[in-house]
Amino acid sequence: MEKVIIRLENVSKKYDKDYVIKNLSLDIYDGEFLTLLGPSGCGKTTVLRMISGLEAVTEGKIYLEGEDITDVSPIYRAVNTIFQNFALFPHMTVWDNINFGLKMKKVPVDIAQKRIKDAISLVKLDGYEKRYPSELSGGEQQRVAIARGIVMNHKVLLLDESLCSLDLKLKREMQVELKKLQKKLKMTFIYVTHDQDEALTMSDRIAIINNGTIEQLGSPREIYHHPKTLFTADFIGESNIFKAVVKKVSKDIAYVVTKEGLLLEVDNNEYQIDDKLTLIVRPENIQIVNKQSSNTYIGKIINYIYDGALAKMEVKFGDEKKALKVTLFDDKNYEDDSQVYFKIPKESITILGDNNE
Amino acid sequence: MNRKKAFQIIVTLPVVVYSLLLILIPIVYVLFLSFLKSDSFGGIEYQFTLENYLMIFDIIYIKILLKSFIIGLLTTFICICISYPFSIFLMDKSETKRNLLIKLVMIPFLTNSLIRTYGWIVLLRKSGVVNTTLSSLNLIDKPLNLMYNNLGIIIGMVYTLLPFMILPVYSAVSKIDARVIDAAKDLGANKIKRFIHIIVPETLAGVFNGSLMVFIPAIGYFFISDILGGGKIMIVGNLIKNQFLTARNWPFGAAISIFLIVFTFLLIRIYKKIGGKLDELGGL
Repeated sequence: MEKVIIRLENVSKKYDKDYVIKNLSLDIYDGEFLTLLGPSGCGKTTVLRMISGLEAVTEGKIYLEGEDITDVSPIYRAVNTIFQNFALFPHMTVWDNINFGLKMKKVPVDIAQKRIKDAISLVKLDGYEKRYPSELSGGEQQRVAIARGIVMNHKVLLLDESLCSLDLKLKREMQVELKKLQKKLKMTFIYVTHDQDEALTMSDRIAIINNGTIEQLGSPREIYHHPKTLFTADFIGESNIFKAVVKKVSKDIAYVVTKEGLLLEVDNNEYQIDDKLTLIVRPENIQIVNKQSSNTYIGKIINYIYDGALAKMEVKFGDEKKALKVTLFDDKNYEDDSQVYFKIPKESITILGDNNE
Repeated sequence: MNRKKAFQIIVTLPVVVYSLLLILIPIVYVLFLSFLKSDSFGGIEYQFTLENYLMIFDIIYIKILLKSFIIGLLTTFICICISYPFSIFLMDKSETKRNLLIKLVMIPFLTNSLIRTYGWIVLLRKSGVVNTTLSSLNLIDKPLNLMYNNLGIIIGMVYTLLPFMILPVYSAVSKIDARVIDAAKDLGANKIKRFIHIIVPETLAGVFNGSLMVFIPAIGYFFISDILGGGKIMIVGNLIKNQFLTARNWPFGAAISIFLIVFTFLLIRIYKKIGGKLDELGGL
């Protein structure tokens, strides 16, 4: 069993009368890269700020390595934060910025110097020691912020949307570097973002946060392929969502009819006739086929877009009110308005239990 | 194009005329006066001399200058000591509260400062509000000397000049990114260390700006030293006023004035040297 480094126990946060975070419990393991992912305003940053201590907890407890730190001031908490806009000290050089925390903790100068040098070379900022933040690019400022955090040698680093102000290319580079850095340092990174790509590429585990609670917690693969709620399915990646009713059941297969009138075979999971289900199908799991078989329908291609590696299109079917999102990885050319058979493989359908929403 | 230029001239003309007539010409006149001789009847002899400037370095006047500087520095220092806590206190208050408190700071500006200074007599004199309150609380046996001395002058100066310090300091403090303060907290800096290492260096320009606006009037506000110092205490402001109105030695008064102007410019030069930006001084 992995060691729990941070435990949130029924944590709630109230602003005025509204709960921003409701009864949230979460175990974070030593050395993992955990991402809190959610839309803006979902409370993910509040969770991070409560772990850092910059935000007080209304109810519940926070433990760091088994020790209750709920009421410990951020000044004494052994965690560090990388802020969204990096929050570097503008009047200090790169060196002084990185040295700040060590100076506050009264680390002896010779040890501090060595640690700063190590941190600087780790984030590849050698030669930048005497520059001021205003003389650095966004990516460089980001590196200073990271160095300032890791130089403290604490076990946990909190990153608050730390990449979102960088341009796309730099962001991709930093994603890889951040992940490498985390593995090398064997530190626990808790990363907050609203960007699902970032979450999927970097994380060991993702916690999907919505309305102040955790919707789903799991590896990127689990989250992507087995969303447990409609929110997760919709938030992560693209998906086709069907509302359906069970019409007939056999031993292994349940036959359902969607609102749009598609008759689909799905894996039976002790469904009863008239059970309401929500079906989720990822666009890349839908196949374009030549001949009719089970779960196959005819439709008309619209909005065909070819972008090199893959082709995206929508397929209208039935009464043409709804279009399926389809992503193909083959290089075959399709014309808009052409008729095709599309197949929704039984195995690729994720079923959410009772049709709640 | 020509019409545009004509328009530009028309709108800027009043300001140019105003500056020329009421600022530049008087200063040039004062400069001119400062190099002339005064005769013994309070008149002016049109004869070049440096005597007026040399006279400033007479021990009597050096003492007055020193005293003025000390009063000015103390006033400035006390104003800084009040402005920082006030500005930091305002930092995490809601917008409405902040606006209200800043308006309260501004309210005294609506009344003439001379009248407000007279108001202090009611508070500070031996049978004034402060002394009667303290003695009725049995905190003092005999009334404190709160005015007609240096203390009175400093109280008056701080009171009159405080808004000029609070506004720039508050403006500088409120410009600090809250996340920078959070970052300092996160890295283990307590309140005092955050103040010394983050807030002070980030707001130096504001403090210097405020210091100029407090220190320079503080060495010149003769009416405060007249009223609350009881006319016994002379600061540079009184000295200049006396040269023009009482002693009738206009050239010497002019020389001290020019001396003060040069001194002010020196202060601004120092500010620039230590890396301050001029536009942060509000276009000085």
